[in-house]
Amino acid sequence: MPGLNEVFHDVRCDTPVAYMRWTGIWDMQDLYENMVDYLRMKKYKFHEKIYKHKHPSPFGVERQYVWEAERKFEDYLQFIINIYFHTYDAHDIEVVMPDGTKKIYTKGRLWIEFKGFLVYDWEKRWEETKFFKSLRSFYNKYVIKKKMEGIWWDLLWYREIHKLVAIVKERLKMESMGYEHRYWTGVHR
Amino acid sequence: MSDVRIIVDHMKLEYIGLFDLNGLFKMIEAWLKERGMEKRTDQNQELTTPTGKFIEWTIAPWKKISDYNRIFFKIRMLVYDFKKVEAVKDDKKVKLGHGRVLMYFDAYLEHDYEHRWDFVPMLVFFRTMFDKFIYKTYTERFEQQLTYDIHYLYNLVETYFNMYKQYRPVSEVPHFALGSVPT
Repeated sequence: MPGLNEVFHDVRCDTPVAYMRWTGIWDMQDLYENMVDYLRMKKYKFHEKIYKHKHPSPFGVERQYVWEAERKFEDYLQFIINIYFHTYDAHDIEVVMPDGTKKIYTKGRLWIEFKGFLVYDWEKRWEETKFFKSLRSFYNKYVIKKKMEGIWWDLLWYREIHKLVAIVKERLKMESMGYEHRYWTGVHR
Repeated sequence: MSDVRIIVDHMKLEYIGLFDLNGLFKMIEAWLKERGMEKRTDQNQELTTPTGKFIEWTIAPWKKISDYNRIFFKIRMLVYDFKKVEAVKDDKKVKLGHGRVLMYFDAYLEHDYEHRWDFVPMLVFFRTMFDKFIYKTYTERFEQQLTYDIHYLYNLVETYFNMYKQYRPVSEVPHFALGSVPT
């Protein structure tokens, strides 16, 4: 049950988590570049917070990546996307492309989690006194409630995170690739 | 905690044969989008095995139907031994998938999703009384709508699979018939 403080002064709104698991062969460099390119194109600041390279086992290497991308969307609103990336038993293999050229790909298992959240009042301008906090709460609950419920959250979840998920599916050539919600938040965005 | 009730419990659909898997994903997602349901992917895994691909896809889309009630589905799809094959239909060659599909459909109705009536036991009591006696007709109507929707989706998927009954894998087509197939 959420506490009273959360209910009345909440400044953060989470999205669900999109999970993805893959076993097979993939091009890690291409995947990484595409994901980061997309975030950069969307004006996110990208931070690789954790990169762990664990001691290789006979099956391969285990690597962990924790990425965070943040974008100050408006004066009052910030988008944050968290990506957790874990590879198991990864080892490099040489593959022959249809045109006969050889490339180094990665073979192993992959686990990815995508989630994000909106931060309201990210500059913390309305946190100094209790009165300011109450004003912010009033503003959130009565003035911008519809935008919070129907526009901003959808922008983050459908336009930003699901687009990223779709890019990963496309790069991995997954059977479930496709992005049905591409026009959910507008055609020209 | 909000009050979650299961309305449709584990409706099962099984199919073995030819089908376009990517088309199936797209069809389900398009249907959910048309219904105005929000998307949530709980699992999306694709594992390459010696006998073909194993795919597990679990989604839990939801929709707020009022400021008190929320419906959500749980659709779990398991695909075993999925392989790409060539098939023939109306003398035309197409690339399709072949495998065994197992699908489970669940539908839930959640009351008081904003947790406004669960701070103290008295409020929970009132909530139960309202749900059972005062809003009974509304609750039943939502349940019927939910059941109708999930059955509609079930039939849609069933129809989709039936469509592929007309396709034949190239390996099963006699060689004299294959001559007329444009490659």
